[in-house]
Amino acid sequence: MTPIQHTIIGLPSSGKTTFLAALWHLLDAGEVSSKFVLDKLEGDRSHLNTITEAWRKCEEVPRTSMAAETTVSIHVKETISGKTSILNFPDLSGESFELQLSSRLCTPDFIDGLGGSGGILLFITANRSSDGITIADIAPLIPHGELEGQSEDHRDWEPEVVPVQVRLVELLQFLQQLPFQRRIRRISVIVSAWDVIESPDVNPLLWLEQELPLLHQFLSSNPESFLFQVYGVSAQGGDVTSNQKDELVIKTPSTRISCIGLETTQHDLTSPIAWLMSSE
Amino acid sequence: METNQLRNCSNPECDALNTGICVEGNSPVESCPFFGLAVEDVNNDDTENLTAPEALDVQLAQESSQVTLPSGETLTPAEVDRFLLCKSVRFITIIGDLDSGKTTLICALYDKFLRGSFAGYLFAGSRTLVGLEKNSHHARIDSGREAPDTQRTSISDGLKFFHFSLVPSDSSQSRIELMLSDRAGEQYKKARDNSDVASELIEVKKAQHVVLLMNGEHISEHSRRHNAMQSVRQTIRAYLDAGAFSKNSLVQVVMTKIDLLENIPDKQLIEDQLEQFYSTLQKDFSGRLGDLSFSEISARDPKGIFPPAKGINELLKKWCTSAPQPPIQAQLQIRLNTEFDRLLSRTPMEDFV
Repeated sequence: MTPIQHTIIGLPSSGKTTFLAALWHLLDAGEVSSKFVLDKLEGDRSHLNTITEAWRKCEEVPRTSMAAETTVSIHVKETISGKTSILNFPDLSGESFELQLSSRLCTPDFIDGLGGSGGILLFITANRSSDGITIADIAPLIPHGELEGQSEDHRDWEPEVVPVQVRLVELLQFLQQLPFQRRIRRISVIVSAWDVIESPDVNPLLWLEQELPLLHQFLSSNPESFLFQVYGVSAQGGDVTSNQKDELVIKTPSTRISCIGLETTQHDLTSPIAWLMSSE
Repeated sequence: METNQLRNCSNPECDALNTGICVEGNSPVESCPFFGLAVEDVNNDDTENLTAPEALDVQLAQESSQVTLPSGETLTPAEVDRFLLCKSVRFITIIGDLDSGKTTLICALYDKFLRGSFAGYLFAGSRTLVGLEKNSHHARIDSGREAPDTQRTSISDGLKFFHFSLVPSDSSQSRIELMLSDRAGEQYKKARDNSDVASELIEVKKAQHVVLLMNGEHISEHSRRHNAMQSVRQTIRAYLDAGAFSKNSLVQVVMTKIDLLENIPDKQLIEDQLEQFYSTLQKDFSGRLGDLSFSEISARDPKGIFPPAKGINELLKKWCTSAPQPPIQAQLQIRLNTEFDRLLSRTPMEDFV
């Protein structure tokens, strides 16, 4: 049985650890059908159990700090074929990726992790404010003539002001150059907090095209580097910081999960991972 | 000299402990990555000639064996040459006096791709995302400015290139690599004044397209209009006579900031004078150039009369349809006798760029 290492990429608060917590419960509890089931328990599961306990209580899953970064291993079996695999996911903090962008350095472990046949889970939260807004964008909201002035007081550029979509494109562009291995990589784009999307007409791919057009163009126009699918995921099932928590906490935990996208059933959080491992 | 000693800041040029001011501009000073660091005496090692940020990068890389990633900054001519080892490139050289809108044009193009496909092309990547972001910053609300601005390109920056990798949205062409030049306007003024400087501008000779900017703001004012026109005419003549332009040069005279020509009393007079000016340029120079065309843009209209990047779509289409400069074929000076020797010639160079 060959271990398959998938890489998780995402900026802070993009839903990476909450996804892992919900995934671990889904596989462990067997409450709903999924493309994978847990094959056996092996190794250290303390990190997974810690984050999943918070998830089951409908609490905000503690975010991963750089000091607490770890790789989780899950032994799974495909429901249909019975084929077993070990899935490794490095649970890296969002700050690690921010540091990668600001320092233009990365660890050899990160490069090694992308050297195998595994794919990438790329996390973006739907619960985000707009960024990269230009002064011209807000001009229609300002009384005529007020843009004429020039303020002496301004903020210098720093990596933190770069729009999310540009940062994600840059993180993926790194993978197209040495020392990363050049090959076609599968990317499951996970749009987390999908429950905040109010329009039923918006599907995850359309959301990506509308909200992060640069990233969508980049993924679409680099088929020699990336194949991608977009999934809308609500790992918590709703806003656990609001009154909605009372409704969520009484549900069977796995039924809180929602996953929308290619060939998935309502609660099957394993679908994005199954697509990474498919060859079609 | 102090060695291995905890100082107020590892940057020897910074006296933050006493002055409370960080030379890197960080506030509070504790947020500076150099503040409070114990450092080796940098004069005794290989980092002697590095700036403080570079020295810290080297230190970090050495200590933790981290791997350096591409900087994302604008490309130097040497970096572009390296890129040319494996890819065909279209060089677009943008010439204009100070404040004519060279960098703003590039930022407006980038801003359009941030919002979706543009002029029938999709964004497929850029080696200079950091450079593009830095230049776009002062037009964004995050900058804290009240009106959009573009940082001036300084003479000391020399020649830089912004990179765009594009693919047609209808897949009618393969990937297009655009290199857009950026150099201080003062240097182009010097070249207009001095033929020796004009002949040294490598980006002009390399260009598939030369975009010659005429400042629409100057055209809108009586006192500056004819100087603005004459500077364009003189530039074409100076570059032709210096050998920088040739029969193969594709020159686009582009009037910028046309939003400033809207709703002004003598608009008709300006249009008449421009028509005559363009006609004279055609008559005098088109025979000595590959092509001479005229267009107008409004890259960023603060009043919102024109949409952002007005006219730039047509420029982009022209740039993308010209024949690119093919990759540089490095000629080996040694005889390859064995299959092992020939391995190099079969190695895809894009793996190294």
